[in-house]
Amino acid sequence: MTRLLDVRGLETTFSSDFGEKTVLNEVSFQIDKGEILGIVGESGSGKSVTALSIMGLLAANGRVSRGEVYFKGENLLALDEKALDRVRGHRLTMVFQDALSSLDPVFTIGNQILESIRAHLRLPRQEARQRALRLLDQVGLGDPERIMAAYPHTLSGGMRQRAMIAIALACDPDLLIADEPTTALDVTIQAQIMALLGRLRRDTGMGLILITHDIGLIAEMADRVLVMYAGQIVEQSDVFTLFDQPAHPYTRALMLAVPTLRDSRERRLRPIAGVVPENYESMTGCRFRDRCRYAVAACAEPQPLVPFALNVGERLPDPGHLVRCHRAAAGELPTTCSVLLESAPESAS
Amino acid sequence: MNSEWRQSAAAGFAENPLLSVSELRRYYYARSRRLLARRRTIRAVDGVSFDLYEGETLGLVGESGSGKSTLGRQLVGLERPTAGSVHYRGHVLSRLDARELAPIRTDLQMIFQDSYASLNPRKPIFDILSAPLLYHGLETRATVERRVDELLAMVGLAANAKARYPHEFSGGQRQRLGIARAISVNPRVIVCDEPVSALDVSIQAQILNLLLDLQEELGLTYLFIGHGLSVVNYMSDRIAVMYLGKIVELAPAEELFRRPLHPYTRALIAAAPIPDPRLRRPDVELLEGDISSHNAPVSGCNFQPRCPLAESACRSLEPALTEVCRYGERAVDGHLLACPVAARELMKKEGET
Repeated sequence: MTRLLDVRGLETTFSSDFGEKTVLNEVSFQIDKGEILGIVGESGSGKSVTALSIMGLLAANGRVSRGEVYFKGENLLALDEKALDRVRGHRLTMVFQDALSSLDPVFTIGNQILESIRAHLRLPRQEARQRALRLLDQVGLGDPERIMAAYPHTLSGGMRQRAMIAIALACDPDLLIADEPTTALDVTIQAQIMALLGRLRRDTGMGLILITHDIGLIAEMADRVLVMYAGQIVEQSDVFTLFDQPAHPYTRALMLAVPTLRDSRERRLRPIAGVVPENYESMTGCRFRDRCRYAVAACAEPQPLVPFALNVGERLPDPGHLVRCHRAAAGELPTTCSVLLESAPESAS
Repeated sequence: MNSEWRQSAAAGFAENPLLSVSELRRYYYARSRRLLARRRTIRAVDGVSFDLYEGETLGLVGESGSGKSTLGRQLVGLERPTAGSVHYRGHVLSRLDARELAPIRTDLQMIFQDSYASLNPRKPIFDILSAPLLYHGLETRATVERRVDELLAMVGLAANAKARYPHEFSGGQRQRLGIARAISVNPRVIVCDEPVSALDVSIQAQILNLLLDLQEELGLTYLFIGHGLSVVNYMSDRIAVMYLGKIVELAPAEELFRRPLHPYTRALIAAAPIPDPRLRRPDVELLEGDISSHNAPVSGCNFQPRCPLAESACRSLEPALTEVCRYGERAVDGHLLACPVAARELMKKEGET
């Protein structure tokens, strides 16, 4: 396995008239060639800020205040803009949620895709054009000639998203960061785009960071998963472990709060009480504790991300399974089986 | 909600429908790009009929552009249909003028997707919630405050919310306010137009459960519009699937997911992610194209350009929504389907067994 990206102790700070806010804290993870890393969390959890920090695309008032981002062995944070531009949009690319505002409205799709190809690959005009047409066809846009000449506003949401993916893929990137790429789209289009991303990973060995709030999409796509809450990773593991043995109370609550198609009609959803705390960055201790049904006094102490090293039934612990919860790590929480039983018929809150 | 009630609600209704929609059409006209060219007709709702029974939740799913919201707006009288009618308690809504409609409007309420756009940003919550009560003469200046407090408590907000403005609330709280306003006038039917689509998942569940509690408490009837199948399944007794202005399948919720018949319904269900990594499907059959790249064809079935089952007859014959015939015990009341090809295949399959 080749290590593509190694993020170590990332911390991102935004400044405003009211002072500084560290919105991201102790974020560390790795991703290998051909791997799909899912990042799941709700709005404000820090998923997008993580992506923007890696890409060096933070707003002017934001900066990475601590940590390193190694992309294929090179620390991106140490590069100047010019050096960064050789990597960004070429070996490392990103797809955003909102294709309409991410594409330039005054240029055709063809202009925008050719710009990327010619800037990074320096291909002659004809070859670049052939490559662009091939890419548009590859992402499932029928009639690529017409799409090349089209302006973003004349395309449907699904087609725009695909066009943006084609631009991101223009130079065969090693790693693609997709930030909620299908959130605004219908499920049938989402399925098409996910199939495309899965195929690319298989065929080209591209790595993919898939950022989403949809735990179902994570189950369908990811190899490994980070669960984020209030600017921190609260749990990290491979996808099977996460769904078999979710350790952090937030991960469990998230799973019990979404309806699924296979549910019996009598299951009552269990909402997570309350909302994400407003000034979470100043909290010491667990940031989920106010909403957590298992919280105790010790949860106000700082919570490091520690290995979850317990046998559960027949299951041996997975060495890569990390959790930011002292009670989960000490085996003080009910095992998953009983959590799922609790959600069976019963009057909930 | 207890399961017996759900079953009795889902299994064929003996009583008369509370609200009845027949052959409803809503067309919009768009100017063509070329001068003097004929204007384009957008058939947002194109011949929809269904009944809504007291106390049930009818779910309405379909992709964006399928006409679900337009249909919802006709139902509460926010827009007039181009043709067809909505029958409610002996009235045909489109034949009433504003004055005649006013007393009926309190019965038919709506909860909108965008809670921010649907609450006046310049008014404090007290004004927003008291206005409909005073307008319809349900409360007087003297009594209205008590009722507002009661409404806030019913949707789980503190009484001190009254003096605050919409922007001071989170998305979930604003949706609670939208719900409080809808139930304030003692409605019987509420059209819920994607009420949780804009909310975070942990908040979604709070709002969905609140809607279920209020339904039980107040005996409400819901038309629940959504594009997420699992959310609609959670809420609904029966589900109607819409595609380009038409209902293509309508069945009790459990039946629809256990035995989806229309190729579009099947594609929708296949495309929904399953939150279990062990159930990954290597290759799902995917629909080609998208809804807007195929505007409704001139004749025949609207879904035919994307349909895996399409035959030549589908291009000329417009399928009608008819009850599915089944053999023997497997018969389920009220499973309606607008696809003769799928119906024929089902007959053949069940004939063999």
